This record gives sequence, structure tokens and C-alpha cells, in this order.
Amino acid sequence: MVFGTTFGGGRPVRLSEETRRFAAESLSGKYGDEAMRTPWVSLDDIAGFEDMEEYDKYDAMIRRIAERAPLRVTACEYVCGAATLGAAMEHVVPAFRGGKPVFTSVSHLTCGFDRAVREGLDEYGRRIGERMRAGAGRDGARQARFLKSLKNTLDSMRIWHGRYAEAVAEKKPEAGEILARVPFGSARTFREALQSLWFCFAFTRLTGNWSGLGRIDEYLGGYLEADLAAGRTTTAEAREQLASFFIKGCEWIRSAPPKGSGDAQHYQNIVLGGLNEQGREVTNEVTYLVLDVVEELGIGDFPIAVRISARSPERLLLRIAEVWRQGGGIVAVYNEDLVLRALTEYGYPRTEALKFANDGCWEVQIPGKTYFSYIPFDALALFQREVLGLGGGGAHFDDFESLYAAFRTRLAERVEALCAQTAAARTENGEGKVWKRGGPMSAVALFEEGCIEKALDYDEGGPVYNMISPHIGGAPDVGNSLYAVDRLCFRDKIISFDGLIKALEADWEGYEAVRLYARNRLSYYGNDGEADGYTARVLDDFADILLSRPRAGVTDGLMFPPGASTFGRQAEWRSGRFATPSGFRKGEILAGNNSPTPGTDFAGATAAIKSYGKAALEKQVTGAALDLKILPSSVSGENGLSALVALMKGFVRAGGFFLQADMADAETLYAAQKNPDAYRTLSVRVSGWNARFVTLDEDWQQMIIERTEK
Amino acid sequence: MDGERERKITVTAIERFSAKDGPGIRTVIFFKGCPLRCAWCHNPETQAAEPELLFDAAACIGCGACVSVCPVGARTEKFPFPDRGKCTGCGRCTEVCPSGASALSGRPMTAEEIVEEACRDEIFYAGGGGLTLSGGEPFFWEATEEVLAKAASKGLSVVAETSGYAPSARLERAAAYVGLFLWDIKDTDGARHWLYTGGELGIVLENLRRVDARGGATLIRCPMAEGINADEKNLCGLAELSLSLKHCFGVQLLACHDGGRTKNRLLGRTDGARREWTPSAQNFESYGRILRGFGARVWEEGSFPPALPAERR
Repeated sequence: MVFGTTFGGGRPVRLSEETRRFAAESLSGKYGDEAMRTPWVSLDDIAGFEDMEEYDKYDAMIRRIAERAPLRVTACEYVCGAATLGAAMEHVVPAFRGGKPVFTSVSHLTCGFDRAVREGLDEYGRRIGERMRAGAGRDGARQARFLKSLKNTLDSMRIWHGRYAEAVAEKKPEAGEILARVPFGSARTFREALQSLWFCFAFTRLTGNWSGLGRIDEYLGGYLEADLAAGRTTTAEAREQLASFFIKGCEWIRSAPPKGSGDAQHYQNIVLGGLNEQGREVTNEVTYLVLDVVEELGIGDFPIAVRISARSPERLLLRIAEVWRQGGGIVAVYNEDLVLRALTEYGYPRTEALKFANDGCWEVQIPGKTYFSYIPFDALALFQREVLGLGGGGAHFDDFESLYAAFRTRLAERVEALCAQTAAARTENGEGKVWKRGGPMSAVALFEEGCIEKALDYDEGGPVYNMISPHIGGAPDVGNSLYAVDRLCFRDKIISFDGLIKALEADWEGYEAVRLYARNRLSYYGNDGEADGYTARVLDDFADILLSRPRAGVTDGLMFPPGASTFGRQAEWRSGRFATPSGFRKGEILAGNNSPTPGTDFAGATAAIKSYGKAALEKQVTGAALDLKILPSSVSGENGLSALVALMKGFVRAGGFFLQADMADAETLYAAQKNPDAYRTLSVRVSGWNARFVTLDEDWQQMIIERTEK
Repeated sequence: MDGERERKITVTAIERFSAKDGPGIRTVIFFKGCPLRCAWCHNPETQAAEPELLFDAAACIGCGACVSVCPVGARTEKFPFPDRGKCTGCGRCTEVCPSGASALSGRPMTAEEIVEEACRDEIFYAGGGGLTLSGGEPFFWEATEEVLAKAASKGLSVVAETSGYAPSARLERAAAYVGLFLWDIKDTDGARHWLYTGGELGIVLENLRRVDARGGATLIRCPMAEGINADEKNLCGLAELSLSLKHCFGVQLLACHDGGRTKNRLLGRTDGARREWTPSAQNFESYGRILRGFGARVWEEGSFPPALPAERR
């Protein structure tokens, strides 16, 4: 079997034929399709369900799932337990009443499964019991009921575990022995730890939740090292077992998923490498085995982010580069030191900051003890409507600084309103510390530090840290628009300000020469030029607005840390936007995240990284991402790897935050053939000669596409 | 030429993040001006030393802005096409062209500016990257020596892609600064060399030996063109040559292609490589094998020996 790649050399083969076949089955949708045949368990026979209290309902649902969800034990797996109810893929608890879901589920967090692996879940039962005996606080009965729900959830998990233990013992005695011990007992070996981690994760998934996994090399590395040293296992064995974990993580891939923003986006992120709480580099054998597995199988379901720094082992960077070249954009990198600075400057103690992982996308959080959500907003639409006055007669400005001042004021108002609305909606006293009641979320609260101690659920202030992060979207296009207005109207004087407003209202119709001047003659964000300063100013000011709001300590109430993202919303935001001063018409897809606007970055990857690094990205506490598309042919050969390693080091030195480098695949090139204007800057390389892909004639384009597909 | 002008170099393109022009990440400066006229030239806009007008009819919106600013009337008669007989490459039309259909290839840069440009990506040069001089023929310009000295003072590693067809003394002096010469030998058969490049092979070889005698590190590169130089005789010659030098790392074969076609179109020219000159993947692979058989060290495309900064040698 062949796992798709953009790399001419093909993927390496290290795993056994059985494991590779298991992977092919899983990736082709076998288990996802199976799950869709039993999408949920029915609650219809539970008398008086509608009249039950919320936590009674929830506990009954979780128990029903634990008792009735189909079991799946496959011949090849080394870790057992499976999320077999298809409705979980729709972000709901898959127990339905009258064919309808009752509760939605939780995502955008990384549960603290590592603690469960270390301590064993019996210890959790003991802690819950202890907390129950201590008595509840302000909302006594309700909080006691929540604690009881945690206990019930744990009991349900024990039921589900019992069913598996029996089935596995029969079919796979070796795996059965391991499952008999974990996750309720503490793990002693790598395989036990892996099984324990998987089982806890699988249970949260079974009940509909999409958690990240966090720093699995840190959690598992010590177990593997001890096993290897004692001769209990081999690297090859451990690789097969870890592969099983990854293959099972593809159990929600379906053969014909509904179209949308892509399947397999269940936020099951993994973070590798970086410093541990003691300040020592984590990178270990597990780190490399994870990279081996994703390199060989091309599994993209566990997006991986590696914490890199000037301290990173050369071998680690080289392995990342090798996986990059296989395509798929599976591995991204954090600039660890900048992220640590962002967190500590925001107020996290360094020992806590050192634990950082993410929410399942790339927003930074302290795993296993953080409530997180974010509020995206379109800064470009705000600039166009509220500052330029487009769609409402148009505004007038005589100079650039008064235009910018108006923008900053509007931006501050919007950000303040977002925070105030959110605080009012979620807490009793506005900004507050006293949360409104949330929904039953015990299956994840169980794995969130703070929830047992405070006797509060996941979304009512239970976790140690609670944040809702306003995310600015479209900052690069606000920057480009500001720059274009400055050049066109005030510096080069190509068109008057009022004339420009008319042109934008007309979607540039009748102003083609000015539009082309704006589009072609000016160099925008991403080319390491003066336009970058405008985008950096927007980003920095946005962050300053949030950072200067009065706030207490990080463990005290609701935080509003800044971040910057679009997460693909640049497509849906089109309808609310107008033509831009930078020469784009209404309806064109503009910049994603903190990346250059498509078709405007001519100077290559290094320039894009430098442009991106010009903002003080450490102020974007929850993150700001740069997406790079790199053509495989431009980094082929041995030196291509050296260049990618050097690119990572440069990204760190440039003060980047998070880099997602994807090798452009044949699909991208086909898209470029169809829509050349959006891909004007995509550069292809033949030895001794380079060209923009769209400037090649058909034969040449075809040749390069074929080479990419090989 | 006045004194000021002489110290400037006409640069046609700057490419950052190249992994194909020497070790690591390199900023490649494409110099205009080349003494050779290779039949397959991949970068035809680098042949002439002076700035040239590139015109892309497909991008032209017919606004006529060029007509009104052209001081010699080169944009009137054949509008929208330029009258190449009249055009002096002053570039005024390119300054007013909104669509970018008229663009100037070549802008004069000082050595200082060139080195500054390379320094912009300094943070990416970990692991052996740096500045690559390409073209065109970088040693066509006297001021290239200033570029080398300035690069050395910044500790930049310099790679030079050269045809070896330049003043011997200039190349000899450069040997002290250039970390690695990617030295083109278009053919080791003198008659064919003259026929397809218009240059004397003897001059190229003499320069190569002189640079080698000065300790200049080289990697010999040869574009394989089917039916022209892609034969055992040439491969044998390349192997012997590489083995006869003290500081030569070996040979890197490149595949001839007709990718210069687009640029020729923009220059209003129709010459360039013929499609049948491009070797098949299978043939190209066999050339590497043959070369190895003759005892040469062969460097795959995209792999390079190190190029140390001047100060470290």
C-alpha cells in the first residue's frame, strides 16, 4: 500500500505489514463508516427523562453509552478501546432522545490525561470522595450534585472498561492483562501508559468530546526509557504500539464524509519537544517514534506541533524537515522561548508556562487545567464599514494619522464590547469571578485540574485557568489597506481620498488603472518591506488594547488574552467585506491567520517569516500563526533539508510564534491553473532557473504537476 | 560610462530562500551581462549588460500610459508592443505601467546594496547559507570584487555561479573570497563549445586551473543537452577535468530544459532551447552513472559541498 506524499523519494517503511494494513483500513474509512451505523444509543426507554435534572440526564446518558456502545477489538491493535458512536463526530453527546441529541459536547481543550496515567483513576475516585466529604461551597446542593456526577462518570467509565477488559482478555490475552491494570491503576510500563492514555482519551471521545492529547513524549518518554534500559521492550516494538495509537486515532475517518471544512478535524493535537517543568529538554525516543509513525503513514489526524528553540537537538529539526517534505502539513512548530515569554509576561508563573500545549488548534494553553474559548472578529470589515464608511456613504480623512487614529478608536470600542458582552453572558457580575451555571460536562471536567477541588464544572470556572480569547482576524489586510491608502492618497497622490472611497464603493469598476497600480505597483505585507509596519502596528495595538484592560491574577476570574487568527474564516467573511484599497475586489479570498494575502507575497518564505516577525508577537498570548506553502521541488535534495532546518532556526530568530509549513501539493497547482490570479506568487524551481508557476505555459505546468504527484 | 555608473552592477533579479544555488539557504543575485550565448540559455534576460524592457502582452490593458512617457517614441508605432530597435531600456514606461505588463529587467545596484540585500536573510544562514552570485556572468563586472570584499567583512559565505569566461586576474583574486565556485563547463569538446556557446573552451579551462592553483574550491556543473553534449566523450572529459584539479569537489549534472521560453517571449525573441534537447529522466540518470564510472565524484541535484565564509579560510 502507498500512503500519499509530495516527496519524490516516497515514504520510508519501518512498520510491520500488519500494522501498515491496519493503517490503510483505518485511513480508508472502515471504522468511521462502522461508527456511522451506530451513531448513538437511545434514551427513549428512560421514563420521565424530560423531567429529570440536567446532571441526572447527563449521568444517565453517560451510563447508557458505557453500557451499550458497541465494542470494537481489532486483530492488529496494541491499545484497546474505541469511540464507536458516530454522532460523536458531530460534537454532541451520542445518547439521543426521540432521535435528537440532548447535550452538546466539549472541544478546544487538552485534558490532563497524563495525571490519570501516572496516578490511576482509582485515585480520582478517592479524591472526589474526599472532596464530597469536605462539603460544597456557595451553591451547595448544586456543587454536591456536580461532584456526584463526576463520581457517576467515573463509575460509568468503569462499566465500559469492564466490558472491554472481558472482551480483550478473551481475544488478546496479552493486551487483556494490561487493560486489567490500567487506567484505574497507575501505569508501570510504556505499554501500560500508552493503553491508559488511549483509554482515557477514547472515553472522552466516546462521550462526544474532542480533546487534545498534549505532550505525549513528555508523558510517555520516561516509561519507554526505563523499559528500554531494563530490556523489557525494543524501539521497534514501541514503534508498532505507538502506531496502533495513531491508527486508532483515525477511527473517525469516513469513506465518504460530508463536504465542508474537511474531515478528521477533531482537535486531537499533540505537542512534542521543548522544556519540561524542570527546564530540561523533553525530546526523547518517543518524540522520534511519533515522527517516524506520521512520516511513514501520513496520518494527519493528530496535528503535531513541536516546541523548538535554539536549544533543539539538530536531529529533531532534521526529522521535522523530513516529515515536512512528505507533505500534508502534519507537523508545525512553536517558537518555544517566545511563547514562554508571552505566557510569563501575561502573568503565568514560569513553572506553569513551561507546561504549555494547545487547545486542539494552536491556541496556547496550560493543558489539563484550562477553560478556553475564543471570539473571532473580522477587523477588515470593521475597518471598511466603521472607518472608511463603505456601504454607508463613505468617510473622509485628510491625512494618514487621523485615519489610523479613527481605526484604533473603533478597534478599541469593538474589543471592549466583545469582552463586556462575554463577561455579562458568562458571569454573574460582569467582569466577574462568580460564574453562571454551565452545562453538564463531567466527562472532561474529570480530567481538568480545579474542577474537583472547586466543585465546579468545566465551563463555570472549575479549571484553574479560565480564558476567552478575542482573536483579531484579517490584520494583514487591514495593514495592507492602510498602507495602500497612505500611498495612493497621501504619499504618491494617485487618487484623492474621496475618489478612492468612490472606487471602492464601485468595487473598482471604472478605476482599473488605479486598481492595478494598487495591486501591482505596491508591495504588501509578506515581502519584508515597509508595508509590514502597518500590519505590525495593527496587531500590536490590538494586543495593547486587551493587555491594558484592568485584570487580576491568572487564576482569578475570567481572562481575555489577545490572539490573532482566521482559521479559514477568510472564506465566509467575504460576503461582509468590500473591495480593498490594495486592489482586491469584493468576494476575493484574502489573508488567512497572520499570513500574507494570496498573490501578494513575491519575496519567498524567508521574507514572509521576517514580515510576520515584525509585530511583537509575544503580546498575542494565545497565539498568531503563519502559514507557508512551499513547493516540494524547491527543497528537493539533501540541501533542501538543510534549507528547511535553517528556515526553522530563522523563524525562531525572527521572533515568530507558530509556523505551519505545508508542501504545496498537486492539488494546489491545479488550483493555480484554474485561478492564476490568486496564485501569482507561487514559485516553482527547475535547476538554474525559476519562475512563477502561473507564468509557465501549459506543458511546463503539466510537467511540474506530474513531478509533484509522483 | 561615467565613473559613478562603472561602480554599479546591473542586477536583474534577487531570489531569496533558494536551496538550489549552493549550500543552505541562499540569496541569489542574478547579474546581467554574459559573454557567452548558449543556445539553450535558461535566463536570456541576463545576456545583455544593460537594462532591458520585458513586455507581457497578456497583462497589458491598453491604457497607453507608456506611449505618453517614452522619450524616444518606442511605444507608439507598434503599440502595445515596444519597438525594440528604438527602445533604450530607460524604464520610464515601466514606472507608469499600472498592470506591470511593461517591466524593466535590470536595475543598477552598488556592491554595498547587494551585500545589504543578502544580509536581510542573515538569520536564515545557519548551517552554511549565504550569498550566491549568479547571472549572467558575475565576473563580467569589475565591481564584483567590491561585493566580495564587503561580503567578507560581514562574514557572509559567498558562492559564485560562473561560466569561467571572465578576466583571469579578476577570477584569481576572487578565489580568496569565494567559498565555492559552481563552475559551468558547457562542454569539454572545444569545437562544440564554440559552436553552441560562442566561447573558447580554452579560456574557461585556463581560468579554472588558475583559480584552482589559488586554492579556489570548485564544483563543476554541466547542463546535459541531448544531441549536443550529452555523450560519453563529454562525460569522460568532465571526469578527467574534475580529477585533475586539486580543489574540485566533483561534478554536478543539470538537465537542459526549454524553460527560458517565457522570458524569450517577454524579450520579443524566439530563440532558446529546443524541447528535444531535454534528456529523459532515464537518460539523465544514466549520465550520472557513466560519470561515476569514469571515477568522478558526482553530486546529485540539490546537494552541495560546504562554502565557508572568507574569514574562516
